[in-house]
Amino acid sequence: MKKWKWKVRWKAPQATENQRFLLLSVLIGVFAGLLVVCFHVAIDYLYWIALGPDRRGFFVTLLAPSLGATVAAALVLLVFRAARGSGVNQTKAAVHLNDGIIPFHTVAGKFLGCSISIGTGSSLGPEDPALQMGAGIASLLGQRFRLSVESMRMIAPVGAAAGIAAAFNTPITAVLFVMEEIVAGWRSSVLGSIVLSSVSASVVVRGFLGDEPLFGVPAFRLTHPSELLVYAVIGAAGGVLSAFFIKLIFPLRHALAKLPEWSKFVQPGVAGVLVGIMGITAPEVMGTGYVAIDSALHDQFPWNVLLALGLLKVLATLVCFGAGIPGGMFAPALFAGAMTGGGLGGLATLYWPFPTSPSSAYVLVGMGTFFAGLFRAPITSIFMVFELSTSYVIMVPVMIANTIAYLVSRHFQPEGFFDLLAREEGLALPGGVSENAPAEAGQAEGGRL
Amino acid sequence: MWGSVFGVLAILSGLTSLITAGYHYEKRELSRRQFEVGRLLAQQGRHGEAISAYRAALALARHNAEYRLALARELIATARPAEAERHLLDLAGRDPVNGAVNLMLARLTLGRGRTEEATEYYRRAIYGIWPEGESANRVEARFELVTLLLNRGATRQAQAQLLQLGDEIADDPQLKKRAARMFLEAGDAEEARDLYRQVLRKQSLDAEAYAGLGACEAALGDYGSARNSLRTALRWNAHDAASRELLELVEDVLALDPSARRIPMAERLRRSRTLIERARGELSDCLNRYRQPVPSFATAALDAAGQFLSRPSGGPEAVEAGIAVAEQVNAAHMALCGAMEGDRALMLVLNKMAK
Repeated sequence: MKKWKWKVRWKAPQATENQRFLLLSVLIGVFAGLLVVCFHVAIDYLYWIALGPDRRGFFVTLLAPSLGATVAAALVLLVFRAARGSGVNQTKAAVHLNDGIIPFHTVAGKFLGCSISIGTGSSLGPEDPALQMGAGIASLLGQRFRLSVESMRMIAPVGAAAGIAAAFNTPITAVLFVMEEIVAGWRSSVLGSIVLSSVSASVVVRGFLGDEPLFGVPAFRLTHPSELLVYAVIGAAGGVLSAFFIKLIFPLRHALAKLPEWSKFVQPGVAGVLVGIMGITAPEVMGTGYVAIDSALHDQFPWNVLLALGLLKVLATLVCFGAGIPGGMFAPALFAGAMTGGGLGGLATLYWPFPTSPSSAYVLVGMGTFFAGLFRAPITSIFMVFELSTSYVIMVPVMIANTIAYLVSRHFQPEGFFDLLAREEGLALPGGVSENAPAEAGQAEGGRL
Repeated sequence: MWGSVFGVLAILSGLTSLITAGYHYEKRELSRRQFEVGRLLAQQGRHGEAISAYRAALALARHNAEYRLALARELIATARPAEAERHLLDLAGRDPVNGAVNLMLARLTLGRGRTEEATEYYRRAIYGIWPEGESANRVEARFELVTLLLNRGATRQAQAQLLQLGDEIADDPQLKKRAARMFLEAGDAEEARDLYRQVLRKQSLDAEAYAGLGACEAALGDYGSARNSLRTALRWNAHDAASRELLELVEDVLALDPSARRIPMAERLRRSRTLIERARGELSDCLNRYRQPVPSFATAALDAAGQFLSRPSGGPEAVEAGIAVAEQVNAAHMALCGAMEGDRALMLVLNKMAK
């Protein structure tokens, strides 16, 4: 009689490359979230030390940005040379040119340089650096897990989304910006991973820093249909201002680049002094400007002050970015748009013949206009304001204002900020929304989710 | 590899927890210090500097309701209603049933002429949550709402609100007197009279309550009682000009009323003649102001008055006839120039007789 022997063999489930990538996306989000939490904390601590929670004296306000900018620029110029640049283009370069490789010391350089410069009052923001730091972390983890070259190319956008989501606490915006700007098209192959990393980064940041939105946004409602015309004007103004900014920043950078090599160590200091001078009368333009945006959303400033702050911020950011101080452009773009929108809205409340909303509503709608015009990312800007306001009613005014800003800016300045910057940095990158997005999406079918 | 990654993650999470704990503590302390500075400055009346300090505190603790409320108060004190309203709306968005915030919003929107919104905020304040002094704050909010409704001419709504005060003002004579004043203003003199009587039952030497009671009695046409109450009020407070003026009016009414009880026939006739004389004078003034051709009914009323006054005195039927003539003159005045506002005593007597 034949004896049957049953053998049960336990075989550990083997994760596929796709599954490992998805799990890694969550981890990237968590790591990026932790890093950005520390980045926020470092900026705030430095700001309290350098400038205090309340206004400091004349000389401190004048010299702190200069000192901070000089140290930050020296760090980037001497120690962390790879940490130079906007961060967005470097991440795009990693995706399209460098097989997803971003040296880890870039992350350290961005962290140190940007926290020092922004924390001491330079008119720049932490979002683009956070984007690059997230991408750097993703690249490091990808290398450690020996991902394939194809997966490595897609790992940087996953980290970038985590960085943006953590910096802004806006996961949808992060996904859209990365798809619109970094991936340069809609690729379903990477969308799932980007969403996962962005959500996990947001969860980490909310866990450590609280789940409150970045701004205390007032309840919004459309008071009169004619207000849409005011929003259109705000959009046009944001578009013109952003085009004006692009037209000025690159000639300025070219002119400063022609100066002797040693002057690169002095330029940030001089820029810092200029920001300090502005900060003596308008401290709102120093640093990220989030507090000032929040104040504007609470009707703290009259229309003329709002317009003046918007223009001063553009000037301060021109000087800081032009002089090569490390830092990002997101926060200044939001500030300039918000203040210009609020200023024009404040004028409308005085002279518009029909009922209008309070100027804070125009601050909110204006917030994305400069951003849309500068970065040529209208969808991101629309969803960013939506996420920040958590109001659906605002969508129509924001869509009108941001689309007009985008179109006006493109009319006056056909090439966008990042495209020109990439050219200046010698990077051949795909720009804007890719023309063959449907083809790419089709190609990606059956690929990674 | 996974194990080491999770190990690093655990260590980094722990470190970040420590860092953020210190950060939150420092942030809280800095904001608290700024808030204390702001409070001291506000107490010293240095509102501008207090606002700066509160703003600094709020920049560090954006979601601290106490700081935001303090800032809103200072902004209101320095006549910056738009900004104060934004902060209060922020607070109301987070805590829609906060009584204090809704009451401040009600006052603010009322001050800015938005009465509909103010009414709604008052209602929310009345039914909202008050951590301290719930009853007193609700009563105050309701009184303010009644004032608003009275100013808008919504007397029925005002009466309904006052009736809801009920037990909340049971033990406080001051609140009762305030409610009674409002009832009177809302046209409910009976409720007002009852409240004043309740007050006087507890504190019988309250001149203000007597004055109010006199006003209620006058409004109800009980001029005899009104005279007594007003005289009592003036006995204890001789400087009450309003009561004195009202007493003069009441005494004039009483002296003019031909239908008063317990007066001789001659006096009754004399009063009806005086009534017609004064009514005729009012109608003549009215016709002088009246730019169009005089209507026949006015001429007829004047003729009837003239005929009555030229007649020698008669008996009880003459009193009735005199009152009828006075009413005819009054009707003509009403048709051409409205009520006889120029002679309030006359108007009150004619109104009483018409009833």
